[in-house]
Amino acid sequence: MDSFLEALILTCLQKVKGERSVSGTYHLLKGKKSSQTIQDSHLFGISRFFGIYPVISREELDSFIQKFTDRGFIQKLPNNNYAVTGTGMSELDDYLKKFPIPVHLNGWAIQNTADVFWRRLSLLIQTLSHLVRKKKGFYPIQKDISVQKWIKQYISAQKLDRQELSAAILSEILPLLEQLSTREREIFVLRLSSSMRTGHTYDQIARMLDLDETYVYFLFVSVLHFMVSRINWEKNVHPHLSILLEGSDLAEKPLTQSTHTTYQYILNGMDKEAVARIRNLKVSTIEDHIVELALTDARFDTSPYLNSELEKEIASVAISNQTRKLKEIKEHLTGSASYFQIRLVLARYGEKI
Amino acid sequence: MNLEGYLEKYFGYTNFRPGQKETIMQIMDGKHTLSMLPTGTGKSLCYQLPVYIMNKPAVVVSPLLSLMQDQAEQIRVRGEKRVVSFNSFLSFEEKRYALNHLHTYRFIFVSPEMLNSKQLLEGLKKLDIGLFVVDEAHCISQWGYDFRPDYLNLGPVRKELGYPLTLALTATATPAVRSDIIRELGEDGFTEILSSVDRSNIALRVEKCSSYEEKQERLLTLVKDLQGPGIVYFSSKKTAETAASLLQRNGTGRTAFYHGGLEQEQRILIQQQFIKGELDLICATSAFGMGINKENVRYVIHFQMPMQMESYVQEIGRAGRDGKDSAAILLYLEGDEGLQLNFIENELPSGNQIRGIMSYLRSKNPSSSEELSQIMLHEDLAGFFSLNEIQLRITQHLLQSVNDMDDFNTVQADMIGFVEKRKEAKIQKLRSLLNWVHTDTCRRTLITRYFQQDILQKPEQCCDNCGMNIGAYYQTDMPDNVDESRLVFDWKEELIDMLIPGRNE
Repeated sequence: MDSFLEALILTCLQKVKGERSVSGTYHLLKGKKSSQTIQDSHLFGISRFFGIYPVISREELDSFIQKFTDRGFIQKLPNNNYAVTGTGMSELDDYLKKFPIPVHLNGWAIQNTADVFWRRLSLLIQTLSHLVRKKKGFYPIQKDISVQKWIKQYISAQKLDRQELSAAILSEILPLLEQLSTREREIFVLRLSSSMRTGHTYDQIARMLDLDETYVYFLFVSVLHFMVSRINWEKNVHPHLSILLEGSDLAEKPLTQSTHTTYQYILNGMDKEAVARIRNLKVSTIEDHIVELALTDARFDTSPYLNSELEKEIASVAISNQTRKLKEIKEHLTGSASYFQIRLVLARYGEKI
Repeated sequence: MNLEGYLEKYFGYTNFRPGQKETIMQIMDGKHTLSMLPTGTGKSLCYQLPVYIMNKPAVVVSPLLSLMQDQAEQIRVRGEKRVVSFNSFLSFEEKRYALNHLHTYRFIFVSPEMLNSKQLLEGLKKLDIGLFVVDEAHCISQWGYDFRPDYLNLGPVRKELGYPLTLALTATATPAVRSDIIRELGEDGFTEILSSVDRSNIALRVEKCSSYEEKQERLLTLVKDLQGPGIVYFSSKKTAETAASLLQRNGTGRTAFYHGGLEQEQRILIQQQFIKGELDLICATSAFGMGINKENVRYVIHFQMPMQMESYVQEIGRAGRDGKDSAAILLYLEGDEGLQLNFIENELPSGNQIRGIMSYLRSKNPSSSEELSQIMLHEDLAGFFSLNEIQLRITQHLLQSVNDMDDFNTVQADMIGFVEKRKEAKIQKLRSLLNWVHTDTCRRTLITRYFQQDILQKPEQCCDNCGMNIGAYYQTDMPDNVDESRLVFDWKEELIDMLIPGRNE
């Protein structure tokens, strides 16, 4: 194993147990907002990796797969998917003992928010560090004009003066960092830009701390995910930082646009056939949307699509046979159920199976 | 008030740089102007100052998103708030807001494809535009080295806007390209202001190596000896990365690599570190440099030759903007040009691709050119015929000229002819640069002659053929070999220092 990224990809392959193609892992890391990707990430218990490495390219992933195959870490199955071999498993275990998967990673729930949070926080700290020294005119580390405008409004909306605001931000960040490992604190601070120095790249930090670059990246992402979830949990303890999360709400899960539209019709009481007709889509597509909604929103009402007895039976078959294979579940059922209904139940119980 | 007075009032400078004043005088005289100013001589001042003097807005067309952002940002950093950039990254709301407030801006940056927007064009028509600026104007020429089909639209746009006073800016353009620019923009009497492409404070040197290993060794020795900061250009991302890590391992200190494959924030960090002097050496592809204002770059090394003289002159022009002595060194290994030939081949659609596309379109049997453009819009031509982005753009552009549905064959022949001609022109340019590499006469003279100019004054440190002492560019006192990566740092101290001034200041 040459990098943490490789270990992470191997972990994903191991979790899907050869039931999904390599593309699934690719879309997962990219955070593709498709029903399939979203559902699978929950089904296989890897939703915390959803969208946490969007820079990956298809070629890069393919080259890892080739490398794993050459080293005997994975094996091609008759269905053209890959299974992790015994060698692969023990290599992975050894690697993860030295470099554990950062505990706070929670891609599905937090990645979107964390992204916005970092862009705002990094620009805020850079700006404040100039303002408190009365230095004017600097090149903002975030080029996105909307982020720049947001920070400007944020600063002018505060009742505190600049010195006080700086001190307040510091007093909210320090206790958060104190709860993390030294390595994580260092990475976070090294990434920041200020009036004294420009932030460091992952590559530079990796060389400073003698770590692999991708591990630095994932540790950093984990720090952000930790901060976002703590701040959200105790908003009153972090009055200034919690504002940075506004408009990037945690509840705002990455729904696909098309699913969103379907949702509007369903809320208006239409059944799935009617939605399919009015949207000129296949019923199966609408079913995909409904499964995605069930995954995304724990309060989404599935009762129009299956009664509670059937739901319980499907769930118990899946749990007692430890399987997510639709066909297998279907065969074990006493009554009849559609694949759509089974998927709907798996969406609800996925992480427990 | 005279121009110097305005310059001091608005920018705080007391002197113009070469070419700036001449350009501004033409504009203030109401003359359409084509101005060729070398990189780093403050081209943007040529439109900024007139905007303040005339108190009318400028519309600035810029080909690259990153370039547009850098320029808009530099204007904002100066304290000017009335700046807006129209590009595809603007959200719907932002765009609507900007359109409704168009009259409030002083500097309106637009990408050429945004000018296809009827709304924006209508908005611009209502303005009293002081100056219409075409940045990197050579992109309009099909025979220039960086042709962008979108730029061909600028002529019609100018007409629609009622021929506003126009300033076309370029850093390097041969006479043929310059006349192309003027013709495409609408031919109405342009004055040309031509600064010399010659930068007398940059000494020129070519070193030939006999193997790749020798070249790497030479690079290592050079960057250790030469006074930084410096830039080394590579023709691929991979080589830039590999070389950076080789140099880092061999103790060249503060070195980083930069290329378009890096994530945006990482790119910004590297740029800013370099500008602020936190890095001494950048190993980069040609993606690095546009829009970077750094005065004290002491050397530019080319590990591989670029594709033509225009790029070479632009890239070495990033050295010595402060006017102090600097060096440009090109390392050449026999066969290096093969890589560039390969790029040229891949940039254009091949004959087979063109034939394939044409027979496909013919089978769709479009009855009008509108229908044809509909087909092109909705069908995945790029996917069907594995065209890369540039190839697709060029293909679309070529197909625009199809008016008569009966004669696909003529169009097909035209397209193949165009591609062949363009390929030939590029190979010709590469050959010129190769001749320059192999010449034993004065390199400076040859560069200026390429642009049909003369050298101003032969400096003492001219080029390797006239005699130059590379020792003059070495570091005088060797820096302490501090390995920065091992310095202890206290995260808490550092974070507190960022936000609470005092203690150590």
